[in-house]
Amino acid sequence: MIEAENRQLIMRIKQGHKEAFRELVEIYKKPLYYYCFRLCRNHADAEDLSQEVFIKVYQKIEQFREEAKIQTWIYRIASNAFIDKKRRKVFVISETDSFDRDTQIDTEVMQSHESEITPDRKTESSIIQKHIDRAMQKLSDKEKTVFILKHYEGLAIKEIAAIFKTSDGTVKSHLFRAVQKLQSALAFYRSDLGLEES
Amino acid sequence: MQSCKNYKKYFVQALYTELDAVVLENLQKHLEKCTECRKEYNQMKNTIKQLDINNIKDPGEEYWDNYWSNLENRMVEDSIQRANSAAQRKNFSTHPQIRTWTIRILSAAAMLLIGIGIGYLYFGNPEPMDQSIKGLTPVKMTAYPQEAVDYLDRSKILLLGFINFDTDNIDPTSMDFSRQQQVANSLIKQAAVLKNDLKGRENQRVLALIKELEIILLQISNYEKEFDIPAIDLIKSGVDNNAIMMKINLEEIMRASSKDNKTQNKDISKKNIKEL
Repeated sequence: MIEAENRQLIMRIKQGHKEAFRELVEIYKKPLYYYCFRLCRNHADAEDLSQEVFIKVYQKIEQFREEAKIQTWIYRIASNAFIDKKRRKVFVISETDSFDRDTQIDTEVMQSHESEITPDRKTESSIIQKHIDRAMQKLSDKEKTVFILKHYEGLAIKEIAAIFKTSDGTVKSHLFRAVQKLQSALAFYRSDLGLEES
Repeated sequence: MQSCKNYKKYFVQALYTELDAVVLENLQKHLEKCTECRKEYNQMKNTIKQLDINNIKDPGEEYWDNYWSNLENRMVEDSIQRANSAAQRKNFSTHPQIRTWTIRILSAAAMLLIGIGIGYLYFGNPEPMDQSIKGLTPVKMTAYPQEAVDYLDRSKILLLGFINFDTDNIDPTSMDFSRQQQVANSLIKQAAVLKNDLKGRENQRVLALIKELEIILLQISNYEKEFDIPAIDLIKSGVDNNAIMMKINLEEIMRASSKDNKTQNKDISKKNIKEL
């Protein structure tokens, strides 16, 4: 049903109806922004990237083949734009900078490891996020995008393979390596939380 | 029976529920038996659970309300920018007049720069004197004694009388050079004194001139016969061949210019003193 509605929407965009494009933006603006935010880890770059993706969607709509899912196509454009921007180093704030902005929290995190786990859930959540962000830095751009698409966006391995125009096996391999790297990077924290099984 | 390594590669798929039911069942059976694999699987499960945190701060309703208008503005800016750059490319490549004029202006600018460069090279930054010229002793005006100046003046006047003497048209009987001979003798004596006074590197040129003059003066002094026209011609040719008159005139000019420079320097010094 949704796919049928999307096809109609795409057809109208192709016919030059700007309102149809606006409808498409309204549907995908939040998922796209969140995906971009997960990739960039800051609002400015996420906003810039998501807008750039929508502009490319509008410009290249004629190239979109209707047998594919529009969501997959948008994710493909976003992933490629992110990898391209990373390669050209055009992001406003680098990942390292965005992580290092809140050094105070980082200090608290390190202290909490040495003593006791922070009782405040909200603070703990942000601390965990900091650790995840740091761990994510250890992944390659491809591993990172594959992992985010699988873990946070909930896409099937087949869909991710379609996004990167690659095989399921390659996606599984990227995903496995990504999880292994994250596991290794977050091992000390799981130990502190008592999540390690003996 | 598969090895542990073969089961491990299914861990991630199993955790993301993307594993085939049959393979999943085999994996679960293996995990029940193998402690090592079960430990590793559970660690991976915990990691994925840990990564479940969704800590994204929403930019707020206002941001979402303005999202379309912001995007629309950017699209307009983007299209204007692309249109401008496309028009610039098109103008330059398709309009031969613009292209020709651009090339002409650039050529003119290049020529102007080359001209400025050459001008600067030759006039703006005088280079040190060429080594071959540098080796020569520059003309140095040193103030020699007033006696030498008088000597040159008197010699000049004496020689002028001989040079201007027309042996073809003047009556030879009227030729009386006794007075000139006295002057010549006097100058010869003076030359002997001057040669001692002018010994020194800076007076080499004027000393050489005095020596040349001395020979001619001796010829005048030794003039014995009253109507010896060949002797007068000999004196005249001696003056001509050695360019004696030219050398005397040159000395006068250099002396005069040296005087001017000194006067100018004195005036400048006076002016500077006044300004101070």
